[in-house]
Amino acid sequence: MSDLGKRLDDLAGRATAGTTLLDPSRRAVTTERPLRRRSLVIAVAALVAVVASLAVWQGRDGSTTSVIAAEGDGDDTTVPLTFDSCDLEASLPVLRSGLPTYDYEPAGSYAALAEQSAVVVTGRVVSAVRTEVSGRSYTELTLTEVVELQDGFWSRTEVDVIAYDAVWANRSQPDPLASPIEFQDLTFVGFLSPWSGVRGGWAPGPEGLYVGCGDQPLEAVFNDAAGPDDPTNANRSAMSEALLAEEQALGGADENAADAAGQAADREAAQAAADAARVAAENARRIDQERIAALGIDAPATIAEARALWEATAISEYRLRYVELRAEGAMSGVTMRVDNGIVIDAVFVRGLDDGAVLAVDDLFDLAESADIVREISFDRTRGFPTVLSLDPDFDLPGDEFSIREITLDSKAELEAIDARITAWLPPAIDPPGGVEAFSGPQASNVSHVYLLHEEPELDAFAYLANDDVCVAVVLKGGDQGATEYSDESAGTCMPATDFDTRPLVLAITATSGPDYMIVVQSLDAFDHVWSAEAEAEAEAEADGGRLDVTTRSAFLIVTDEVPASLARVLLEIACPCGDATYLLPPG
Amino acid sequence: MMDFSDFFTNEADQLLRFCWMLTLDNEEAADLAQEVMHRAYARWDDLQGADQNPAGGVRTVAVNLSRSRWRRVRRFRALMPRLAPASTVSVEVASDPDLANALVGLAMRQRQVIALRYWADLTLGECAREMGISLGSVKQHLARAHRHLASVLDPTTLEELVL
Repeated sequence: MSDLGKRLDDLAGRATAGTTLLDPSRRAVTTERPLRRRSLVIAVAALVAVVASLAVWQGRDGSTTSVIAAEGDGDDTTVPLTFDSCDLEASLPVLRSGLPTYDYEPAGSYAALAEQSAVVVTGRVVSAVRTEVSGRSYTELTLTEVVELQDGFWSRTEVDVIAYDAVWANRSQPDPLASPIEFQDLTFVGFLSPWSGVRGGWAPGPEGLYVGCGDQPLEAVFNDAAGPDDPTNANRSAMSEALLAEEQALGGADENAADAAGQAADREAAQAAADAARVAAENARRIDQERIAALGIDAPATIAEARALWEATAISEYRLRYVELRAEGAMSGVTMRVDNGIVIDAVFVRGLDDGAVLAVDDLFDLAESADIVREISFDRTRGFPTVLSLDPDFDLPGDEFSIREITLDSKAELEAIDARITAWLPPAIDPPGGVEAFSGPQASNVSHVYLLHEEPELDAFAYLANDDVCVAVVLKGGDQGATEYSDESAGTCMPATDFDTRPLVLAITATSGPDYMIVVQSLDAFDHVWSAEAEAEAEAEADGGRLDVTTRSAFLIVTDEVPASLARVLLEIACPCGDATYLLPPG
Repeated sequence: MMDFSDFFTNEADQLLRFCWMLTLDNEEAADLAQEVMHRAYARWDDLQGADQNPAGGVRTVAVNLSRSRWRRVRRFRALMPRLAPASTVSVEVASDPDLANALVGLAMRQRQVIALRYWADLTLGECAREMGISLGSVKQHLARAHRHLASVLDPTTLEELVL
């Protein structure tokens, strides 16, 4: 063993000293079980009763029982009750059973929710059961593989049981959690606060529990826990409805006028902020240019010149994006935030997620130390590499790599674009409930959305997520009960900095429902008066389509009356900033 | 045929150390190693079949499991994009802070290849087999790990260490 191996062994040995593993062959279990999973055993008779009650309670036919399997140890008298695979659709009703209606002030964002919570944890839900402590009824979850987010870093934690208020008041049906139910691979995120009254000592807040299967989006367990004034809250009490109606009757007109005036004032303020940010960014760029001009470097030709140019810009806070291609063909695209030369946040957005995360200085270091620089080019005015292809060690085959599509936005530029987008956006609204596009991990920080178009069969929204500008079109009329929206939606995103000059386009030709296309004009176009026209190509009927144009976007909807399957529909936009034609292809 | 209990007695501590090198966290390593042992026990017949290397087999399971756990943590971290990750060195590793700090800065794949190459004393080909990736990828991860270690540790010291 090399000296490095010996030091590693010594380090690991000291770190794990005192930790012992259990020999699985000596444990009194006869089936493979994940760690810490409680052996939940009930009588066969109870199993039959609960399975039957679940089928009745979920309002389904007997096929519901297919999600539940008895995984026994060969003993016909006792079996644990277990979901045989991760099934979110079946698990959520169990976890939601008996929930009260909450009245609370929404946190508004996950970050705010985290701040309000004592701990934020994630892991797997092993089992759930209804329990009673001091006459109060709870749903109690047993957890495993729990890690805690501390100072931005996940670490182990002792949270292994949490509980929340839940009373099974429907005496005509058996409580589905009267006996424990085990889950398979049901992951969760919990925003918890201490609660000494329950076993485990921790409880999620009213917005604080999300569960999911595999890579599917997490769903809120307390999905009906909306505040009393939330218009999407289907469980709003009759009293709240009456109060709301009274408020509207008493002061509706005045409030509407006040709202409109307030919105206009907000928009003016946002526009002023956008102008100020743009001026600040232009000033910063001008100062950079003056500093760079003093260097006397016009379009750097060498690594040394480029590095000197980059250092002269003194850009210490920026966002960097690139795609890395490795010798074996692997590819990964990453977006990172850099502060004082240190990467403070990185998200892999394409390909594999184990690529290198390198700030500009790291790229220069690599280029300078590589045995062979196969290709390199630099930004003409700021010097950072825009393309990099290196063989770090000539004697080591397989370590070659390229970094391409490198783009950099300074903090000043990002703030300027943020301010422009803020001025561009219509008034914010809360995300409508039940719409997957606004609740999945990819859109997890969507606290507000912006209604662009409202149509009878579908609505179009803009929203901001992870430095991207996104558009989502959501179909209405689904069987969602509490919401008017169906679970069908489509969307697309682009980096906010690209939105400065490029439109955001989404075109869908669906097998059922209307076809549609939305062109969200770029920020540049927002400063101009532009128009849009739609037409179908020859042999298509012109009736049955609608075009809704606002200052921000053009929304073309082709209903079933138009034989879109035979026609290509064109959307033509005329703008002093540049004309463009977009195509909705046949379905 | 080796009895699982004997294998456990011989390899549990080694596996625990290996898992610690992958996770740099004592609790996480213990959970990971325990889960690996459970899986090894459940598939013990397969693991010790002809030409099988049970110790290598459990390391492969550990590599794969640690990777999936790491992916999961990262997925959840995406929920809180404004909370930047911060590298910290656990108190247990104060015995060799330079090396511990160097390990913290390595990517998961780089830590895996360093542990397999220098701690488990495997050839590059064996590393590739246990990690389930190509030889070229192993070389690349190793080269990057070397570069990082050399940037944190004294390059001359690193050269002596890996010989």
